[in-house]
Amino acid sequence: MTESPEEFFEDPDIGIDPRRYVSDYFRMARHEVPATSADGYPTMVGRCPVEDHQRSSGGGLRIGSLLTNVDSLGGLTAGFAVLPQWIVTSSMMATISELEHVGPLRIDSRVLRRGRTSVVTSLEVVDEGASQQRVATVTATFAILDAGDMELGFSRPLVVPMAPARDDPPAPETFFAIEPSRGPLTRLRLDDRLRNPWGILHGGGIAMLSDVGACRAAAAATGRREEQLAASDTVLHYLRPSRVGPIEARAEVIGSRRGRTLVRVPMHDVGADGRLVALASVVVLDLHPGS
Amino acid sequence: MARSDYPQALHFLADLGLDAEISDDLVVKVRTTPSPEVLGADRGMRAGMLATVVDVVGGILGARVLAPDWMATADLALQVVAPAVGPVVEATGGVVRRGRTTLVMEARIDNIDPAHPADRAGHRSPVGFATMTFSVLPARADSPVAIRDSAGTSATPSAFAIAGDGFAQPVAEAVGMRVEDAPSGRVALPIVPYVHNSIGALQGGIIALMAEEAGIQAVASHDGADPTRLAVVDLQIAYLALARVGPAATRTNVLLGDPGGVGVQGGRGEAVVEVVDDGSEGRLVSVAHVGVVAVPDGEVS
Repeated sequence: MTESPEEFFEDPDIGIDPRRYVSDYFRMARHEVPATSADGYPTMVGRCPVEDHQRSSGGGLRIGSLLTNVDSLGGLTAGFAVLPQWIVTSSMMATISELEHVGPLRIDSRVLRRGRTSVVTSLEVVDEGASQQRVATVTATFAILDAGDMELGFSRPLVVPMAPARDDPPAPETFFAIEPSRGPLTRLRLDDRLRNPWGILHGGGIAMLSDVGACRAAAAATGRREEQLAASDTVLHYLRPSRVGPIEARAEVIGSRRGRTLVRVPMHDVGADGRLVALASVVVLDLHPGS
Repeated sequence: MARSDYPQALHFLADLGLDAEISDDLVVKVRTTPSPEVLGADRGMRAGMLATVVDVVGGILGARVLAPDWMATADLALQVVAPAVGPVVEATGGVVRRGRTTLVMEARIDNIDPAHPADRAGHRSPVGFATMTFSVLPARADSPVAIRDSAGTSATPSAFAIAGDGFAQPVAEAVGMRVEDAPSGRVALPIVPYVHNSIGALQGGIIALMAEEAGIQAVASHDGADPTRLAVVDLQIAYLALARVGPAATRTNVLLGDPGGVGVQGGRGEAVVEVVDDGSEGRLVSVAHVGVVAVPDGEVS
């Protein structure tokens, strides 16, 4: 039987550093490659397994999970480029090439540009279990912030091994405390374990909510079952911190044609006067068009 | 140089032809009637031209919201769900968030048939959706002060038109773009005032058009397809630096070359296009992800 997220995290082996909750769930190993290029910025490599409980109806990691890993690795890449300052995610633009994955997936991340107020990174995802087949390419932008009293004592070059596999881990939408629903409204409960080092909802929670919210809205609009659909290309803007919760996705189908449904997904912090915290646009694919 | 005269009379935006209006609650509508010179393989406006229209939406909004500061496009993402066949194409945009250093905006794009009897506002069908991030540029003495309309008004009015003579040839040729090597997706164009943005660099919509053309040429070569039967439905562009010298040129990496196939992506080609300023030691100015589909028989222009 699948554990609830609460039961899952009662195990002391999961660790006590809240920065690790999300990454330990996704089990992404990370290592830093010291700078060799002229720009002087290190690159990062991530490797994450594709476990059955993580698979979407598309056959591989669901896009919310993939973007959670991308956000984590891109954030480290950008953060190391701006130390002793740190970063917060501003946006991700993801082109998805393949929904079916063997795994593990390898993510290579590098700095494209370091500006005065932001860092732009490029991330490429390939499937090592499928002859390095390309899975996704992502451009992620991070705003540079004063780190304040945040603990940034990294051991460099950073090496984080893959977290151990767990028995009966929850599905990613359950891990991110996304409540069951149908139609255009989808809610995420902002549990403390989902907060990042800034104390706000981890960017992966927003990515997962946009994925699930878009698929539910597309299912309602097209009459397809959710299992027949999968999120694909995603553009995600993080606008304001999600501090209170629940976070509500109020998805709206822009249009649908030939098995592609384009969904706009604004996300609001209901406990903070419903303010808009993120905006996504997601292409939802019909996995069996014509059936 | 003060740029309060932007866009000048001989400018591709004028030849594209735009009508704009901005409401008191900061909703901007930009309309265009696409001519044959701006259409792609699917009989709709080329993705690069749609990106241009939404970039103008953002520019108008930014000028109003940020004054006296100015802005530069940092990223633009366009997702197309149906061809922009018109007869009128309208982009409607608004501010999503105004921060200290950035401005995030969104725009939806629709086909409108003003003659359609369905309702008085004209029949509307969805084309796509776009988001943009603009970097805020602190005001300087030479900052632009407005977008100029065809009557020469230099304030940002509530409604105005930008109109020129129209394109005399396909837009890619009109802006001086040439395909130098299709398999490697290398296209190039000179950076001249006709394609400048408000701060004298290559306009973001033209960069989008370059990415579109480069992606189509490279994917077509990779797949043995006819480039005149391919259309771009996804454009994601990160603008990293200004291209001021030129010529601007592209280098393209095909990621997936199956635009006519039946894969889970519905048969799509993908490419990453880097735009560089050859005149500035090949400086990387933009990176674009381009999604390309084959247009079905019977829908090719």
